Amino acid sequence: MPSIACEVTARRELAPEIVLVSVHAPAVARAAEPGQFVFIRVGPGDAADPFLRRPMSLAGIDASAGQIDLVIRAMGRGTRALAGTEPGRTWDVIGPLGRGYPRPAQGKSLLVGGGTGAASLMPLAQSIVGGSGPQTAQTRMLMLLGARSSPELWAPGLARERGLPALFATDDGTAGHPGLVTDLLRAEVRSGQIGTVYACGPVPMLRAVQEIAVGAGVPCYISLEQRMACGVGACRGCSWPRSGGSGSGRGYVRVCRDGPVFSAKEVLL
Amino acid sequence: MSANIPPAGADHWTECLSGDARRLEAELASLRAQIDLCCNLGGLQLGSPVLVASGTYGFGREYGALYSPALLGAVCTKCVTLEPRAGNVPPRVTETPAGMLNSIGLENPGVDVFLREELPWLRDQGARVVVNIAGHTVAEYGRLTARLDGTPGIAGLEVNVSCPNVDRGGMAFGVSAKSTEAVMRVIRKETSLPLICKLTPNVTDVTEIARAAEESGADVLSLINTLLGMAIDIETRRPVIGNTFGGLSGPAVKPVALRMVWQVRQAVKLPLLGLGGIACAEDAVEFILAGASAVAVGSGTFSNPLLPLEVTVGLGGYLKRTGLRLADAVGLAHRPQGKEATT
Repeated sequence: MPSIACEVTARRELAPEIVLVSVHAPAVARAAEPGQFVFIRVGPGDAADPFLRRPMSLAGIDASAGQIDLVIRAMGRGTRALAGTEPGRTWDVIGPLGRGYPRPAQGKSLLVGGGTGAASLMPLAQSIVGGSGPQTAQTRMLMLLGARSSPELWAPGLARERGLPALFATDDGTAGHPGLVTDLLRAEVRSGQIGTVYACGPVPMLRAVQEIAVGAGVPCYISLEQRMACGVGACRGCSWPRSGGSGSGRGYVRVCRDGPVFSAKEVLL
Repeated sequence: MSANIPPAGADHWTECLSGDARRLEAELASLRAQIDLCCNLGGLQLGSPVLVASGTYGFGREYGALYSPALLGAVCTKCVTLEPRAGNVPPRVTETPAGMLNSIGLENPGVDVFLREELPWLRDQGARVVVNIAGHTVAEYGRLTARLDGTPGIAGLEVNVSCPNVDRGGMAFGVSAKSTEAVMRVIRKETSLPLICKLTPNVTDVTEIARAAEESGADVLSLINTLLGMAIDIETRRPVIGNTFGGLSGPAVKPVALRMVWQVRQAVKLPLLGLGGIACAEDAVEFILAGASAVAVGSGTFSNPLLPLEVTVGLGGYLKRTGLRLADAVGLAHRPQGKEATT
């Protein structure tokens, strides 16, 4: 087995079943860009089961400390094992993989995150805000964060810690704006000079974001999630239909290598 | 088909594995000075008995950024068809116990793009290239073969008569001795290249199809292709795979693959390329002892991109430790009980 051993240095619960894990992975942190992901082996290196690696988007990139952060939601057996990893244990981590978020156009950027999708937007938000103070930060970027219900709403807390301006919404109205995060997007797009919209989250949310941004003529980039096998573009297992054309002639893109970030116009949602 | 695809991500990921890759390359070079890893697989002259299986290595570019494909016995390419194919509706893959299901649907850019954009790259890397081919009809296999025949840089063809992922084509040919024969005969007429017939395990008697392939022009038999399976999502209450069924691969299928290599070895004289669930060098040794002259690493590459090199080095280490010559190890487990292995 490869000798890549990245130490899990910290782990804390952000919400029930959702943890923030910090990993010492200098080579990854050095090369990574916002929107890229890592591919983690679950369990000991020579284990036949679980068979495949798990793709995890980068929720934090600290090149100088050689550290990456991941937000992991315990959903299946792989993510449950990863989410339960105690600090001091090591992971076999390959990355960074995929194509990240393009730089923003002139004007304010809106970053729309739903559920754990907000994770991949965190490093992007930090790179847009840079070292600027809260006043300037607000003019450059605003995160719009949504969850089904208040207990699952982990992202605003993390945004606050990192000095990232954010509004939030819950579907059931238990915190922030009562309703959809895309309501917030609609209002923001109406009110100001928006340069770029970025989004990561469930497909119905992405579809709504795409409609709003395209309707307003604002460039829009979305990050997709898909089941993966190889993670590097070789197997064509994570294909996603392109937009335009019809039937099989339209073809597919590879989420792992052509993405996970796409221009909203490129893919069929 | 490659038009409009956005520029792919850079290959920084290979850096975290480059130390291991260089170590394995050095170990392999050192082994080669001590033992002979070359093999003749039905006329295919290979520098190593460890290949990579079709569909798990693309056309080599992705993993080629990590180590040279020339270090492999050969690259069995992603399946190539006469016309471009978009592939099946997603989701196309899902994990299963000690394995995975896939239903890619032969997505490929078609033979013209393959010859223009993919083959030259593999050739420039010094890789031995076995082109995996499929068609909708017997005549299409013939036309595709004619198109590939005589192209420099192609060492052989692997005929996909067994892909379970396509509604018309693969399945229909590989499950019947008669249609397997029909496909192999038309291909044989069009080329003198070494021909590998890839057998499907989704049959009642694999030896019947193996004999049919032997009688209709195959030089090598490769086995096994994936086992047809499925998974159901209990929350959506629908099949997980977009195309309902998928091909099972990974360590879960290895005992089945090994059993079929054993049976086919007893049924035909052709050399065999053994594959199915190889996850370490010891697995490869088992296939050779069961009767495979060479082996291919398949979906194991997904979790460990260096697996093909690790298996090569480990197999070489086994031959060195036991003093066995590769050719003498092939099928050795078939010797009568009580008779010791000669070294």
